[in-house]
Amino acid sequence: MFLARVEGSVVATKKDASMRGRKLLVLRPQLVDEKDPTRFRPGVNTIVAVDSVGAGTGEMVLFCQGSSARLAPNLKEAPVDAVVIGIVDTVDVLGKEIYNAK
Amino acid sequence: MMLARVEGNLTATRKHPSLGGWRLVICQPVGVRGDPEGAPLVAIDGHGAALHQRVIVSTDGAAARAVVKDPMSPVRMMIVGIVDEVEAPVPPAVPAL
Amino acid sequence: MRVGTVIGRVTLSRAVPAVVGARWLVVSPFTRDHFPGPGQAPVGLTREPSLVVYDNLGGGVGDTIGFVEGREAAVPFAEPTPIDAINAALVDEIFYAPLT
Repeated sequence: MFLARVEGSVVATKKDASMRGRKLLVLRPQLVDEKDPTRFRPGVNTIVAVDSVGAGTGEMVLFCQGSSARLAPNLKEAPVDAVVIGIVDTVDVLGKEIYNAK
Repeated sequence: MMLARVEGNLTATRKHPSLGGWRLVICQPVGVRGDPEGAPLVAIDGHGAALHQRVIVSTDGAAARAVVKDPMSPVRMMIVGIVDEVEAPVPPAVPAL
Repeated sequence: MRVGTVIGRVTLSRAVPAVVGARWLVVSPFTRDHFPGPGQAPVGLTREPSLVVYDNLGGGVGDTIGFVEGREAAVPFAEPTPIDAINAALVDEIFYAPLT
């Protein structure tokens, strides 16, 4: 799994029938900056993921990729490879809290 | 599968039960000339591969689960053979970075 | 499995039912240049992207772990569990002798 910021959402009118009714979020992965572990650095790739927890733009989330994404509720038959599985409360790195949702 | 060179091993007391009794071998993926490609991986070994021997590593989870005899095992990487020789007469075309 | 150092922890305020209450470790994977030899301390952060792994072995910051990625991470669970990385081994000792 990776941490990510929700940058927005995607609207797609023409899509696979099994994707109807799913909210699709645009994610920017957040990696711990190896040069300064009190900060994140953004990942290079933009990820589109199915929302399974009701996350909104600006929130920090945890997302899962690959065929495991289809193990999220009601996604068994959906052609998806990324799903948001949680909304992040805190992130601690090397003894410091580097993210808090509050 | 991957071509790899054995470069060590590790021990772990607390681990998934299906790994109990298995050698956990550090395998460095290599090209045909033995040049390292990427980060070392850890695979289970049932063939007694020796340090610096070249081996073939499979990442097929289903095959690994069958070998450890546990359908709920998370294991995926497994040494499936020890290399006698690699024939590669034409210099490999390694993509530019 | 890949090997890495546990550098942190994540808590969630909301999660899909299968993973409510789970432990999540932030892990920095070892690279060939950053791989501790025998008796060496764990390395700290490497250039490899740090990822989050599901943990049910009780790993903590500073531990070296072996983690499995991909669909196999979800295999140990009776209920469908949408995870793609799991802590599979808390490493006691590494013997590493690269050729070069």
